[in-house]
Amino acid sequence: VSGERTRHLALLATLAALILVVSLLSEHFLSADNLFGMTRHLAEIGIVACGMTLVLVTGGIDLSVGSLLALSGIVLGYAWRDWGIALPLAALLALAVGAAGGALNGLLIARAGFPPLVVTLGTMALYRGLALRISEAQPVSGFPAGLGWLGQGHLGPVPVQTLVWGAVVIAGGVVLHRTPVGLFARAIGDNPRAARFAALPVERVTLAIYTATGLLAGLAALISTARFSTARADAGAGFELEVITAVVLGGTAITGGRGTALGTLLGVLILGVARNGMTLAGVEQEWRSTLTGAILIGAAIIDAWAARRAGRSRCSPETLATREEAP
Amino acid sequence: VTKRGVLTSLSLSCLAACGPPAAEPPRSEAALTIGVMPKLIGIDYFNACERGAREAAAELGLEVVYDGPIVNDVTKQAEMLDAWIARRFDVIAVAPNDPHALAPTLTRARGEGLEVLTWDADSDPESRAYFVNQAPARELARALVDVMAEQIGGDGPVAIVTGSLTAANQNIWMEHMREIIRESYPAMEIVTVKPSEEDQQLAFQVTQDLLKAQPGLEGIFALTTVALPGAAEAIRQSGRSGEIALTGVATPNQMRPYVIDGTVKAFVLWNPVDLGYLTVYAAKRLREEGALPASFAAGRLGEIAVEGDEVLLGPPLRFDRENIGDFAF
Repeated sequence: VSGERTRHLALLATLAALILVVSLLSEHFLSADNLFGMTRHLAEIGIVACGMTLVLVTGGIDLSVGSLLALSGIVLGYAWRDWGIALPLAALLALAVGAAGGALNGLLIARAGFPPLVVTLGTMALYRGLALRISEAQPVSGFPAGLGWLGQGHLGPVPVQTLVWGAVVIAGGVVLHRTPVGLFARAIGDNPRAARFAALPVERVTLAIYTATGLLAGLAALISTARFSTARADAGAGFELEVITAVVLGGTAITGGRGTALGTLLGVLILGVARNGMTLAGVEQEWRSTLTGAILIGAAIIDAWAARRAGRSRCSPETLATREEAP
Repeated sequence: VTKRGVLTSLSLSCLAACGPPAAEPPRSEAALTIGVMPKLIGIDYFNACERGAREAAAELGLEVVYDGPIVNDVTKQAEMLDAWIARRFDVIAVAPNDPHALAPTLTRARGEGLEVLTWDADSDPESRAYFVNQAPARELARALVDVMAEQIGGDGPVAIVTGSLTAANQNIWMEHMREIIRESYPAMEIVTVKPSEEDQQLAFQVTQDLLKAQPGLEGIFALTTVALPGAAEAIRQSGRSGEIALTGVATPNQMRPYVIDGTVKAFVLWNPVDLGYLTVYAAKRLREEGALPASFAAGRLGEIAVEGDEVLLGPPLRFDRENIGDFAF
């Protein structure tokens, strides 16, 4: 727990320093318009990152979220335009497709016992292929304003999807830190065999986590479709890597067992501020990727250092006793 | 514990601050700032457009920011455009990767008082003031089909390697090509259309597959500046240069070796340097007058016609062994 606090403080300091640098480079950064505008583009990543955090905590990975986002979006578009389904029902159908896609991942991983990397590499291609197949690579656009509200509307100065993102972060935090599901997820990630021997519901928890992540990809698809008033089969290309990057940057261990909702939120914000700041400051594209990489590696160094600090204090006999205490 | 964390992050951010060559460029009060966004950066075609845009900026004494995503991804374009809106550019000129998806962003830009142009590819008409059209689709399609007909004698099976299957430009060209073939060369037949996603390696592979799968094929159209060199390389490596007629759109620099060795006899393109140049001239005029007249003077291009809400660059150029030496883009 003290390791978590160190890590959060390090992330917060990184974010604060980044904000300082960017606001010195560009007078436009700290305007409310720009900051809220930035969250408009981050919400989809931030929402799916909440599910991905849980997935990584169990020691898994989900590479299919970008493809699932495209598939859910295409189903939304075709259900509404070509299959004569009312828009609210089409939206529910898109969410269901997301959840079903996630559940398929979960079944193959939890029930059949295939490695998550292999399963979701496969479904990544499968879902993208289905999206292309259904749409014949033709985008759907011209959605009514009611859907547009979800991706372009505001409540006061705050974009609607930013509020949705906030709600998902809170829900994700509660699940991860205040429910048995979160506790079990960490136990599975720490040591899956031990979790099974302890008679934890490994299968059910794993299935639920992948299904929820798929559902969140469906939710992100609704927002993305609303934001552009367009559903495209090539939507979300590279999305899975952006999500995983943010989650790992936020201190979630790729090897499982450790991760926090707050860390993930900070990870998404750091990536977002870096991206927005570099565009505002006129940093050339050629540099942007290099700098993003440098920030990631820097964060990994901080993370390793924080883990070592925490590890040292953990090894003293009195903390060892309370080590695996629930938060 | 936290002090070192803070120090590490600070030095990390210093890296972010010191690494890039340019901070936000200083803006003089009078000079206009025009943001020009290609579909993607780092390919010959859009590099040539950039040269023209910068040339016009130097002549007109205004500032051009030329930037775009490194892949043809419309969501990345939207994100960058929002930052440009926050930076209060005077004019935004964008080549959208989707015919509709940028409309909400561009409409917001106009609401914030920015002038909006599209160039190279169009968006919903109500989301921009004008579209700088590099080549009317009909004329380009006519030029391509004529080049092909010359080489294969007006009949036989041909294939098309396009960009993405959703690319608006290529889809309109194909529509016109089909029409022109129906009217003028009814014995020519388009047997298949393959996507190559602005990816030269993929175009290479798709063309190789076509050569194997369609043994009787007489000609190939490659409809993007990335697809044509990829297709040419595939034909050259298969040893069938001169046997299969290949044409399409690309820049002379890309195609020079293939024209010289005879893999490609002729191809078609507007001048992308001129397209970037004209876009900046149109942007300045639009900012100053709020609308464009029926024709206006665009520097070395002379009088340029405006038809409705489209600025027309003029007829496409045909490149072959005779004239390719005259062009350096």
